[in-house]
Amino acid sequence: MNLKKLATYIAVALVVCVVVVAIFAPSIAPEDPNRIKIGQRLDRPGDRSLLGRDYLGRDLWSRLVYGARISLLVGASAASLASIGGTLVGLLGGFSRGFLGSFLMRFVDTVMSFPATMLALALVAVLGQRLSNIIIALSIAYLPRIARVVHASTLQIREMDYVASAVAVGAGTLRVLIRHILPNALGPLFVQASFIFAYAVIAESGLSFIGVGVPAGTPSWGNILADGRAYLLSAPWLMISAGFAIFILVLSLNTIGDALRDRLDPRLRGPGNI
Amino acid sequence: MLGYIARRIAGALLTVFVVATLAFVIMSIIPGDAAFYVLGEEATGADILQFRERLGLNDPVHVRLGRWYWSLVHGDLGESITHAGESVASLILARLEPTIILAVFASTVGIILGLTTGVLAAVWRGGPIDFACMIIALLGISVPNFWLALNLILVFSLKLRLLPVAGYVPISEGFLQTLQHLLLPALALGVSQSAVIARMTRANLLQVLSEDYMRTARSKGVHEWRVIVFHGLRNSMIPTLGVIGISVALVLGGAIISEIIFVIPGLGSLTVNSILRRDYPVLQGILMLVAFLTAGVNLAIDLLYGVLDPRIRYT
Repeated sequence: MNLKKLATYIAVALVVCVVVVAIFAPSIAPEDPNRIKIGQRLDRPGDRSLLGRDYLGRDLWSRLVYGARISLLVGASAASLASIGGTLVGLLGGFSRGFLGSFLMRFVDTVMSFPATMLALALVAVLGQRLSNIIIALSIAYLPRIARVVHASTLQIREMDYVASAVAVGAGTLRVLIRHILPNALGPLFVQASFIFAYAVIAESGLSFIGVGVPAGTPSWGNILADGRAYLLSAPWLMISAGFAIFILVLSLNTIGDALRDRLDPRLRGPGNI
Repeated sequence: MLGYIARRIAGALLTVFVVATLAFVIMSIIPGDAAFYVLGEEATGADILQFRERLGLNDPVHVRLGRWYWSLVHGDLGESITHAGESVASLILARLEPTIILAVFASTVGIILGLTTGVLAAVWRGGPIDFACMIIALLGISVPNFWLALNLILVFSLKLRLLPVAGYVPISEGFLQTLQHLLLPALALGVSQSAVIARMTRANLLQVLSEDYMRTARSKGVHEWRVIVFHGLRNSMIPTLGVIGISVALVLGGAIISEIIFVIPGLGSLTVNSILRRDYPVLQGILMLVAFLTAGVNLAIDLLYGVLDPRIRYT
């Protein structure tokens, strides 16, 4: 049990580190992440720079530092937007009995049956390859997960006595939804949002890796990975370091998500979780 | 039962239809089309106009949609824009084999690995084995599968030279070779799937392990592993099956990136290419196929519930 707590603290510390690095990237990075030093291309780590250089001689450590910005921005924005949209859909779907409710949830199930990666890929293709569009695409792709969770909580909560009392004393639908149902559905929502943060970080780097994400050349972890792919044998540190950065961030986010779930989601509490 | 299946299939067809219509309309509204990609930068305005006229891209959306429905009910998915003269159906069919085999292979790896670690963790709950299994599962969920794939290539293909770096051999040229080429991508995809399954298996098995019928089975002298697998696992499988159903979509999505890393000529690479070249008829065909596949998998899983628990009735 204590080990689990320790793991959570370490995870929080790691995420805070990444956030600090992202915010202060200009002062932490020793070089401009796009500065080309062709004479020092594929320098090994420790030669003339901390982590070595890529095929254009750009400083890997500086690129990783700036890459943290994109991963965090995409992850946090996608998680927030998906949460807002999903909450709206879930609340409406759960509270309105009748056609609108069942139609909304049927739609959510349809979207959810698609692989999120494929959906995001198609949306980016349609919207255009820009950072803001990647965030929008991922938000739409992950929105159904939030909608489902909020929908399930709403169905449960709307049968509670305190909701009936609120309605009895004359509270309007909007007031019941916002003051009585939403606050009680927030726990599972936060849990799901923390996992979506993690999924979105992986998805963004995956999209960039296959060339459909943030424009090539931008220092993002997925792009570094894509650049490193051609130099697996001669410069494996490119691939290893960028992937490791994604892995550590996602691992920390998942650990925090697990801890949140243990605390906030009563339905999942019990003997089943570690 | 048959009525239930018929209704589900009808529902799936309806979903596919809605998906296809939505996709069609969205793709029609947005600017930019295949003309630029096919004709290149040198094309004049007249060329583009002629190209669009020939493909009927100049007609209003509802006319094109009607035409598309018409050919759809005749079993025709249309023609690819960028692969001149090839029908969407034949393009997709040609790319289906590697993706299906990869998905089945990866899911097999995922299910076997996941069930094993989940059962081991639940049986030795609280001990070091449980701890190790759940740490592995957490790592498995967190590792990006394309990074895992690159690491596997680096170790097993480039350093140890045990497996091919990339490529694909069709089944007709030797099944063993096919599997050899798909082993690394299937492993990379299967690991993340197994992590999800392992957590679910452990959680559900733990709830079942303390049931009365488990004690009864033991007191009858049934062997411990038989008790766990036939009495415990079977009764805890229903939520796990649900997760396996969802993870098939996960594998299909992961396959897109894996196919590009391992240069496998499957649906994933076809998807990315048609997206990049705005070959919408092909993309549409793929979306419909995926909607149908996931609906099919979900139906199969719902029917499996009844096999696991005969009390479940389909009406």
